[in-house]
Amino acid sequence: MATMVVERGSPGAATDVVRRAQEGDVAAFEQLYRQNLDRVYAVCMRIAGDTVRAEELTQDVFVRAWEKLGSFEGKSAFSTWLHRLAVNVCLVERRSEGIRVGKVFTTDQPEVYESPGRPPDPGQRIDLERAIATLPPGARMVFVLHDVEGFKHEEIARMHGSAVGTCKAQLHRARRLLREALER
Amino acid sequence: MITHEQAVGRLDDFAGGELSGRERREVHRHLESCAECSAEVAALRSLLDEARFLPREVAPERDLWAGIAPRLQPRAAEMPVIALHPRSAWQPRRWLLAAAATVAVAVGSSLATLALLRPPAEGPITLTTIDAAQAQPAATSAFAAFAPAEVEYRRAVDELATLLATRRDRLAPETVATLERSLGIIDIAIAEARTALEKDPNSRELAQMLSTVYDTKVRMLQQAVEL
Amino acid sequence: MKAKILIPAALAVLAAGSAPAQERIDARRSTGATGVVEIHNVAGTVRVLAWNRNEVHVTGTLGRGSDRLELVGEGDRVVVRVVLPRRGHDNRGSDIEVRVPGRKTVNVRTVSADINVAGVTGSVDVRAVSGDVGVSGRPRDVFAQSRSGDASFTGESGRVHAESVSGDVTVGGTVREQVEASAVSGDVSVTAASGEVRATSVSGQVEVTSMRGRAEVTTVSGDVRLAGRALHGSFQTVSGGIYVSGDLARDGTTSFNSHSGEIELRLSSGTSAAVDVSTFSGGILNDMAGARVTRSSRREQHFTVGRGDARVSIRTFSGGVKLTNR
Repeated sequence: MATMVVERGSPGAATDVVRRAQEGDVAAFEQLYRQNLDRVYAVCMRIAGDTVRAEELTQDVFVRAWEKLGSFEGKSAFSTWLHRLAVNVCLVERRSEGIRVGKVFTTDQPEVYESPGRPPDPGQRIDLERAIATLPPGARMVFVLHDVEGFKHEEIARMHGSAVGTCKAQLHRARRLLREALER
Repeated sequence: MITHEQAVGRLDDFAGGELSGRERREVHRHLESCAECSAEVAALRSLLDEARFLPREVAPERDLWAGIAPRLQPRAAEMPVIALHPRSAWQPRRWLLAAAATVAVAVGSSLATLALLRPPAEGPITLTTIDAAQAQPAATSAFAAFAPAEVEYRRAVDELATLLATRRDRLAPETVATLERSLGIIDIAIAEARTALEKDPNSRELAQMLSTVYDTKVRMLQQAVEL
Repeated sequence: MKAKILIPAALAVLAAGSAPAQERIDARRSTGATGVVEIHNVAGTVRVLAWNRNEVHVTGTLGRGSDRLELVGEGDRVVVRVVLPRRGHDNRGSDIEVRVPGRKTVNVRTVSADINVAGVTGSVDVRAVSGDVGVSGRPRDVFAQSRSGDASFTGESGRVHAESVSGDVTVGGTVREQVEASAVSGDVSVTAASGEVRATSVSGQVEVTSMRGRAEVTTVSGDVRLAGRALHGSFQTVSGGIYVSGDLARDGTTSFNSHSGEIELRLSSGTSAAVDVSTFSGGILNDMAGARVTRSSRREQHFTVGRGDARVSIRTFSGGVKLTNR
């Protein structure tokens, strides 16, 4: 575990830390990593649906953030910028995964999303977090972005490269499946 | 009047607050007489509330830094892009500390560099050159080293002052008077520091002070422009 | 958004100029627990209070010159608006009190009306031109702005931005992440923030007390006054004085800069710091107990107290520097 002390009480001092990271200071970037890890992981985990994938994505996010640090202009908070970047990394991942696996995520083929899989403990009531993980990938992505993270349909459609109608249908499906899973 | 089937198709958007006025009213009206749809909306809202309040942060089971650090390519010492006052686009260059024999440790702070002079006994010196391409091995006078920074400051001040002039009519007369008085105070300070530096061009301290006052001037103008 | 006008039974529609002086308001609308409430009132007062009913309830009096009160909703967004007649009129201002579900986000816009929001836990954004704006309670974050009125916050929040031009700005309580407080000629006072603080005034005074996070304070001619147990950051003024009474953060880095104003530090005797002082023509008076001076001249002094943990830089052009123990 890290021996570095992170001042959680003063994340605003991050502007100094960000500048140093931009100048190539890896220790400063590590501070940013520690300050933002949990938030980034939450997003990745919910979109990816499994922890192994989530860890890989989280690492990809930070590597990408390091590469793109020069383009951060301080117009928003660093954590906001990083959050956006994390969502983008997860979506690109989803897009390319779809192509790799040969699936096309549209509602024209709803049968692709037939069963969400069984919840971990069928006999017990499961919580929302686990229920989200059992959603089919497309539905899960839209649900997390729209209902958890607060993005609008238009934004999600644009980021994912699909149509707004598709997103809405996915969302409808996600909500229905979640309610079924939670009521068991 | 919408039919039950039509209402059912819109409940999702209704629950999420995304229906337009007329549609929303129609669904709302339908709910008043349809227990099934009302129950559905209530269930949807309950789900959305839960979703909205999921924890924003989740800690991973193990630390992930080990999988990140080795993948970080060394970054060139680029110009820092962010200003400490995030809404502004202007960023001054921290002026170059000449690679002289003098000991100086630059501690990154605000737009003005904070230089602590340590007695030689205290060990290795770290030199921060902001723009590697401009590093000059020979010591130049502090005044000369500051000159490029001063050009930057002046340019920023001109830009901001011009912008401010176009927005003057948005400000109350007393505010304009306060700002002008304050700029006067700053300009006197700049003149004093500059005169002293001209007479003692090797004084790193004086160059630092001049930089700080310029910095204040820019910040003040930034604040005024955003009023 | 096409507005539907909901006129409560108790309130008659006022025709311009022909109405009695004041009408009582009593309007309700049910709404969800979350979402936004938007309130517009040009003159008079606006008070917003949180409650735990899923309903927005507006009470108060409609002033002479106001046309009517509108209370409309779309999904989880509710808009409360005091409507003025199209033609300019003698607007005496309306005093309204709005009760909202506690978790709502609240946005209020007025011109001369004072604004007060209490108890809401969503985001709060209040702006007036000449009215005073005040927020209290535990809002998630706050944006409070006036031009000539005062802007204040007291309570607990994540981020607070409070600004005025000629009014005073006051931020008190606990603000975990960041406080931004600024004025041009007004005074700024920030007490007990625990995150980063950025406070500026041009000619007014800036006072920051008891902050734990890093602070950045800038004035031109106003004084800077600091008190607290873990001071660190950057403090600069041109002709104002800097007066510090308290303790430095143990491993912090702090810089104090003034051109012609004096700088006075009164630090507790347990202070551990490495200090560099430099001035062009001001004097340096170092009265700190146990100071180990390593360099001293007319214009500079470098010394250590304790173990030299905190790093401090003090610079003036012509202002005097005085260091003592509390």
